[in-house]
Amino acid sequence: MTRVLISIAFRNVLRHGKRTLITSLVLTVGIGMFIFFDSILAGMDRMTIDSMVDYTESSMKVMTAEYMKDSRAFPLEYGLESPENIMERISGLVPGAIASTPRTAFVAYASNRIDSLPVIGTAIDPERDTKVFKLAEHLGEGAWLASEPTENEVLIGGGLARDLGLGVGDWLVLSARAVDDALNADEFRIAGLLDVPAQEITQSSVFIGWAAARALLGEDLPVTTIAVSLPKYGTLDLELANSMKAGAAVEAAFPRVKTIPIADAAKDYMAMRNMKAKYSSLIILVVLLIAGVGIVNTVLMSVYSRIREIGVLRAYGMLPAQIRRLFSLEGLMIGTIGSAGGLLLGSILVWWSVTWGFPLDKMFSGLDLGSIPMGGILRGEWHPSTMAAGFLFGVIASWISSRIPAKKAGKLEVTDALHFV
Amino acid sequence: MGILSLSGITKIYRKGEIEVTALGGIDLEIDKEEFCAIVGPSGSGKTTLLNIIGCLDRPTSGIMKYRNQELRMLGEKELSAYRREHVSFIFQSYNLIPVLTVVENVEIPLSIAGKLQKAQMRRKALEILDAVGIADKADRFPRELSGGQEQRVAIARALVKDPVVVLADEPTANLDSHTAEEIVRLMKSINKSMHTTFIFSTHDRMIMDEALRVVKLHDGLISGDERRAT
Repeated sequence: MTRVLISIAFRNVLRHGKRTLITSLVLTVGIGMFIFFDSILAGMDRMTIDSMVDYTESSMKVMTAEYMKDSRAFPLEYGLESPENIMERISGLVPGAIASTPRTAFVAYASNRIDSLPVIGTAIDPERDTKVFKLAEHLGEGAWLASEPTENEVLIGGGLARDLGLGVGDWLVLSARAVDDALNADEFRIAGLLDVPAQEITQSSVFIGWAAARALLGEDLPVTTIAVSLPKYGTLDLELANSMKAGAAVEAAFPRVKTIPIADAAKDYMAMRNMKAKYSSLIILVVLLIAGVGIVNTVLMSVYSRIREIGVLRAYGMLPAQIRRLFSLEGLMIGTIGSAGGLLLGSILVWWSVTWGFPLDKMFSGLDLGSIPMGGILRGEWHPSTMAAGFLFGVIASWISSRIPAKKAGKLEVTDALHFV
Repeated sequence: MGILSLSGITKIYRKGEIEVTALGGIDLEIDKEEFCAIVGPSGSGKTTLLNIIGCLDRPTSGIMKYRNQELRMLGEKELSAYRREHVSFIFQSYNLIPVLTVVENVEIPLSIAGKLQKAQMRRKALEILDAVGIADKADRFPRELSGGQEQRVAIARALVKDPVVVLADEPTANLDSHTAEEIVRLMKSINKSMHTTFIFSTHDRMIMDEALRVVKLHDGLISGDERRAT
């Protein structure tokens, strides 16, 4: 019996090819777009987190508990004890740790002798820093800091340089409170301008070598932070989980230090991302609702155009439940065709976005997008679970939708059906 | 004792406040292997009577027995089983399933009955198509057949499960007179060779002449019952 039901349902689906095509096309486009947008949103998440890791936060930051409490004020009194020892041991404690670098951030004013702007200065080791951060790859003009400079030099954000009307080779006056709380100032030659897709760096950051920083802020300037680079994994969730593990390992080995893994640093962003994921789930619900209405309509049309056929089958002893199954099967088949199409369309679009991506530099060149990182190529990510969920939701929603007209078909009186004109 | 016995069968339809009496109290006995025509003008109750005999509809009152079993008290599943196993139908407009081939259409009652294997069903369907003279069209679709050929397929579909009774509602109404005659002769020959009881409604004089029993209906009541020699 089931074989006959499948055969009749399948042939009817094929017989009304246009009707099937139009209905399943709604599902195909809806599910395809859902898969594609999910992939792109995942790509944007990856890009944002990568941007934080590569330019500002690193994969994990190590600091004292006291510094962590007051970190927004960049205090200089809470330095790490034996930072070299910590950095040496990190590679053993955290499997796969790529590199680590010492940093100390401080509040300062940058001046062109006429105007001055508040900035965040950061003392860095020019050589080690490039192994953790990718700032060196984003030099708009000039050169990276020399390991052993012959004169005071700084790197500043391109936006800050423009605001102060300065360029490479010009002199910048940097003033800041030293470790002993004295207000010191010194002149620095601008070695390079950073054009990084992170507004806080471009607009208000100054980087100086450790020797120059100690000359400005005091010879006992401590290392307040160690930035650690960890390997990047295929999925963002794995990468975040790995950073948490690394943080726990370091804290266990050094009871007096605290860590901020990227998973913590990006907590606010991740909360927003989860909210975004809920909205994208709403999209699939709306799509399925539209497709569901389409399927109800299509199967209902099928029921009305075949009322006599239903009458014949009932006259020959077919039960109402079997009639319901026949029409549910038709809905299920349309849903499967549409969902398979959606899976295919989604896969093609994801493949395209993973292989080629969107060149954001070209697409948004000349646009001021504030703090939104708009550099590089935005690539999608493969999410097999989302793809499977999109396909399954499509099939199940179609089956549920077809139950409504199928129920109607099952309830038809045999005599009414046989004499339906 | 006949295989079908109807006693005091009435059927009243309600349309809002109005009651329409389709059958006003039918007493009828149908014997095995009869070739019986139900005749009468439009609205006389022919189709309603056939529907009640085929258990497609329930009478408002009265008793109907099939092989001495009262059918009125049966539930939907039992009635479906009765239709599945004992009676078959031939319709005025053939009602073949357009997406199935001729042989697949004929197999439908066997599939619904679910008693035979696929190969057995196919063999039986081809045999019956051969018996109605249309085996060469087995793989065609209904849209590729003439009206007469479609009705032959409908007859084959009705006969394939070896029913005791075949009910035909105006089986020749959509056919030209020559084809109609052919179809009735075919039904008659099957009646003789396969011992199947045929009860069919018609208002075609030529078809009536072929019947061995003619039951006349008028306003939902039997106004005549004439038996003829073979």
